[in-house]
Amino acid sequence: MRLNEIPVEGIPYDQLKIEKIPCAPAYAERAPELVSAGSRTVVVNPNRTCMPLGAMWAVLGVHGAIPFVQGAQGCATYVRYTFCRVFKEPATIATASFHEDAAVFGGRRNLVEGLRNLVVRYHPEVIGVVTTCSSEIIGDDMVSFIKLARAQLRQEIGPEQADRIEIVLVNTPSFAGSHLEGYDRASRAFVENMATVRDKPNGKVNIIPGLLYPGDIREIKHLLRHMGVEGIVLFDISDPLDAPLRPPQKFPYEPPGGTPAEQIRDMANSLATFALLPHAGQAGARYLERKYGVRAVVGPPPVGVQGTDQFLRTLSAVTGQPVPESLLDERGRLIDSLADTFHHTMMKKVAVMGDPDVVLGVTRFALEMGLEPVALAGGTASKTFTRDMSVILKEAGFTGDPLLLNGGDLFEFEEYLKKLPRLDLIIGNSKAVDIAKELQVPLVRTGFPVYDRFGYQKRAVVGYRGGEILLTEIVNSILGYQYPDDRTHQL
Amino acid sequence: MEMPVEVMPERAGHLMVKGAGCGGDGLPRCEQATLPGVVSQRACALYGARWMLAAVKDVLHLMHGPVGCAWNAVTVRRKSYPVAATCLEEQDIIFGGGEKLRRCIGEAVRLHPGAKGVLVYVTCAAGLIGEDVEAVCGEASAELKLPVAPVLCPGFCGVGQGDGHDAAAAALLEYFIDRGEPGPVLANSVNILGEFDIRGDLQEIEKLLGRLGLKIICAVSGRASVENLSRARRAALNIVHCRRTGRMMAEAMEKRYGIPQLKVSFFGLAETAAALQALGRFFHRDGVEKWVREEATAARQKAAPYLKSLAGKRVALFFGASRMGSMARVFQELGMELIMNGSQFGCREDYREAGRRLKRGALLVDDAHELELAEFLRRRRPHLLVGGTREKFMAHKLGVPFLVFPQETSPYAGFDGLVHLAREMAALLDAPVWRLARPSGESPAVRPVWPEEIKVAVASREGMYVDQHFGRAGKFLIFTLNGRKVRQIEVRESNGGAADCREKTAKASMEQKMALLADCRAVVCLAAGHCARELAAGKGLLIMETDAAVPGALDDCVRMLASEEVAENE
Repeated sequence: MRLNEIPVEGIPYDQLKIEKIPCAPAYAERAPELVSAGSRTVVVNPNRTCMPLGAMWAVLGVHGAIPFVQGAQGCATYVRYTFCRVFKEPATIATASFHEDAAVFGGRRNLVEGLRNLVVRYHPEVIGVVTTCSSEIIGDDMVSFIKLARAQLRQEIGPEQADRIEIVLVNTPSFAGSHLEGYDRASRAFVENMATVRDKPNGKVNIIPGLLYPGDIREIKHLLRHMGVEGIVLFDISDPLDAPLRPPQKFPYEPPGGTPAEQIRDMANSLATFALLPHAGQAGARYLERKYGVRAVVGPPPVGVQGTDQFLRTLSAVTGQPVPESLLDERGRLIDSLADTFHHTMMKKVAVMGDPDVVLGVTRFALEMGLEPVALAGGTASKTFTRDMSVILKEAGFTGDPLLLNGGDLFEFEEYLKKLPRLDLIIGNSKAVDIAKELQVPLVRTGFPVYDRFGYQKRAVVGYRGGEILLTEIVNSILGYQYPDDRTHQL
Repeated sequence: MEMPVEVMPERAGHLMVKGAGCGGDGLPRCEQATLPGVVSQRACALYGARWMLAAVKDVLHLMHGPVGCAWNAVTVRRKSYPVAATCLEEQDIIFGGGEKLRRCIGEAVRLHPGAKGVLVYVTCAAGLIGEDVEAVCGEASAELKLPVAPVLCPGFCGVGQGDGHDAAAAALLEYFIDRGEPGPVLANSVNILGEFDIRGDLQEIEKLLGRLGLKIICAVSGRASVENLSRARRAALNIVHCRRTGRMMAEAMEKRYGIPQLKVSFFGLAETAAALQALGRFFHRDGVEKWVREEATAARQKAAPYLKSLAGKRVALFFGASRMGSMARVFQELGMELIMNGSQFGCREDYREAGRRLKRGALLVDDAHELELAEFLRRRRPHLLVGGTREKFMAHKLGVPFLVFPQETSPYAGFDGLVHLAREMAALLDAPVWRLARPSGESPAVRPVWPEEIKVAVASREGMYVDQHFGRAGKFLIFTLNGRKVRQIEVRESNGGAADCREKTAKASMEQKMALLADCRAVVCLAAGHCARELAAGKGLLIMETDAAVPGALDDCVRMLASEEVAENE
C-alpha cells in the first residue's frame, strides 16, 4: 500500500526528491577484484572515525571538564557538530585554532595561550588536551608545552588556583586506530594521571562503559543499584549529555553530572574495573590491574540475556552480592518477550554493522532471538573480533557462514548485501541509512552515531530492560516491513 | 550603552555596540584567526570546501587524509553523500602518501565507472607531509582522461571555513567551468552562485525566474554537475546569492568570459522584489513591477496571521557570513526587533551591510565564541536566536527558542518562503514548551523565597501578564514580596511617555519613572531600552525582561535577584 500524497505538504510521492546522490548515474557491476576492502587501497564510506572524537567523548564525561583540541578548528567543530546532532545537547569543546603559523612553527603558542584563555574565560576544573594528526605530524612536544602553560597559569592566577586544575594529555594521532582507541587511550590517560594512590579499599567497582549512550549508562547504574553495589563510572556522560531543561539556568551553563575528579582519584582503591566494551576502555582497566592489582574484567558487552547474565555473574563474584529477585524478574520479562515474539524473529536474515563491540553484543542477542546473521561488519580492525565472533556463533550453534568484516568499509558491506538472495533487517548506526534505503530493508538503529532519529541516545540496549527495548524495536521493524498495511496483521 | 558580554582584551574590537562610539567606523574587527582556547563556532577550510562541493554530481569526492575527515565529510547540510578516502595511516605519514593517492584515484574511478571527474580534497595531514597533490592529480588526469581536481583546503589554511569556499571555487573554475566548450551566450540563461538548494529553496527561486523567462544553467552547488558546469561559461548573467561562496567565482567568470554579475537575495519580500526587478531590468522585461507587487502583497496577506506573534519580538542572528545583512532586513520586515547580528567569518562588507540595519544599542559581533553568545542570551534575553545547529542546544538550555538557518523544514526563499518563515517562527515563539519550562510551571514547593521584604514593580496592563514596555508603561503594579507572601499593594500611575530613547522627552520621562520606582528593588517589564537600562543600573534597580504571567515572573525575578547577589559576592 502506498500513500499517494503526504497530507501536510501536498507533494506527491513520485516528486519527492531522493536524497542520496549517487556517484554514478546507475548501478554498474563493480570490478570484482576491487570489492573487498582488503584488496584495494581506496576506502569508500568508512565505518569508523578518528581517535580525537573518542577522547573528546571521554573528556565530556568528567565533571567540569572541557576538551582542548590541539589542532585546526575543524577537528573540534566537526565533533561538536556530531555530538550536537547525536545528543541534542551543547558540546563545549575548545580549539587551539591551528593556522598556517602553527603548521610552520609548531603549536606551542596555540597550546600555552589557548590553555590560558580557556582557564580565564571558561573556568574548567579539568582540561583534557586532545592531540590530532596535525600536532602529531608537526611533532609538538606536548608534555613540555603543558608544563610551560601551567607555569604561566601559576603566575597569572596564582599557584593554588592553577594547581587545582587537572590537565590530562591524551595523545590521539588521527592517522592510526579509530575513535574507539581514542576513548581507550583517554581511559588510560585519566587513571594514570589521577588515580595515583591505592590507600584504603573503597569496596566499589569501576565501570568504564566505552562509547555507550546516556540511556545505557543509566541502565548500568540501575543494575548496580539493584545489586547493592557502589560504582564509579569513568566518563559518565549520562547527565552532561542528557541534561534536563530547567530555566532559569545557573549561569554560565555547566552541564550537570559527569564523573567527579575525586572519584577518578579513588579508582585505584576499587575491587575491580569493568571495561564493558573492550576496545574502548580496556587500556584503563589493564593499567589499574598492572599497577595496583585492581582486577580487570574486560567485556563481554552486557547486551541481551547471556551478555547481561555474564556481567551480573562476574559482578556478583567480585562483590559477593547475590543477584536480587528484582533483576531476576527483569530477566524473566526479557525471556518472556523473547518467547512471545520468537515466531517473528526466527530465521530472519540480519546484517549488523557498527563498532566491533556493539556488533558482537548485538549479534549475540540477535542469535538469542533466532535471527540469522548474514554479514557482520566491525568498522575498526581488531585483533579479537573474528575470534570472539566465531565463539559467539558456535555458542549459539549457528551453522551458517556469515561474512565477517574486520575493519573494511561500508562499500564492501553494501556490495555484499546487494548480492544476497535475501535480507530482512539491518542493525547498525545512521551511517547505514543509505544502504538500508537502497536495499529497501528496515534499519534498526543502535550504536554510535544515530543522528537521523530522535531519542536513541536516551534509551538503553544494555541490561535486561535494554534488551527488551532493542527487541521491541527489532520486532516492530520486522512487522512493519512484512505487513506494511497494519490492517492485515493485528497481533 | 553597556557591552552585554564580557570581552577578553584579546577579543576587543570584535564586538561593537551600535552607537556606543567605540571609534573607527563602528565595524568589528574581522577576518582574523580565532583566539586559541575558546569554544569557537567556526569550522575549518575542509568544512567550507565540503559545504561548497558536496552536492556536485557525477563526480567522485576523494578525501586525501585520515579517516576522520572522510567520516565527517559524509554529512553536509543534513544530507549524506558518499565519499572515497585515502585514509592515511602511520606509514603513509612517514613515507609519503603520493603513491597511495595515485592508486586510490585509479581504483575509485574503476569502482564508479560513471564518474565524470574526481575532486581530491587535501586535508591538514596531507598538507603537512608536503605532498605534491597537484602533480599526482595531473598524472592521474592524463591517465584516466578525466578532470582530477585538487581542492587545496587543509584545515589549518586561512582563518575559517571561508577559505575552503575559495579553494573549492578555484577548483570548480579551473577544472570544470574553464574546460567547458566556449560558445555563444545562451540567451535568457543564468547561473546562481552560492545557492545550495536547502529544503527546496532552489525550486522557489526557479519558479520566480521562470516567470521572467529565465533558465538556470547551474546552481553552485545546489544543482551542479560536470555537464552543466561546462556550460556555465555561456550564461548571460551570474546571480550571486551568497556573497561569501559566490563572489569569487562571479568575479573570475566576469574577467574570463565577460559574464556580468548581480548580487541579490531571494529571502524576504523586499529583497526578493528588488532582486526580480533588477533581473527584469537586466533582461529588459516589462511589467515585472506589477506582478512582483501583486505576489508580494499576496504573500504579505498569507503571512498576516502570524505577524501578531512576531511583532516587537527581539531576535538575535548569528550566521556563517554574508547572509547577515539581507536576513536582517527579513526579520525587520516581519516586525521584529534585531538586537544582535553576528557571523562566524563575515568580511567588512558583510558587517557594513549588517551594521546599517541595526538600531542603537544592538550588538554586532564577529566570530563569537560559545560563552559570549550565552552571556548575550542571558543579559539581553532575545525572544529568538537564529543560527546553526552548534548554537542551538545552548540556547535551549538557557530557555531561548531557536531557529536553525539554513533551515531544517521548508524553503524560506522567495515570496512563499517568507510565509513559511513567518509561520514557523510564530510557532516557535508561541511554543507551549517554554511556558511549561518556566520554573512557575514546576511544583510550588520549589518557589524561591527572598529573605527580607522587598518591593517589585511590574509593567502590566491587566495584571495577568507582563505586557508593557518600560518606556511606554502608563502604570506599574507594585508588589511586596515577603517570605512566601506575595501581595499587590498599589498601582502607581506614570505619564506613559516615550517609547524611544531618541525622543526629546525621553530623558525627562525616564527620570520621572525612576523617581516613581525609587523604593523598588526590581522592575519587571516586557522590554526596556538602553537609556532606561543605563539609568536603572546607576540607581541599583534591576530590570528584568519577560513576557510571562505575573506570578511566574515574580518568582523568576526573585531567582534573578538571588543570582545577581551571588555574582556580586563572587
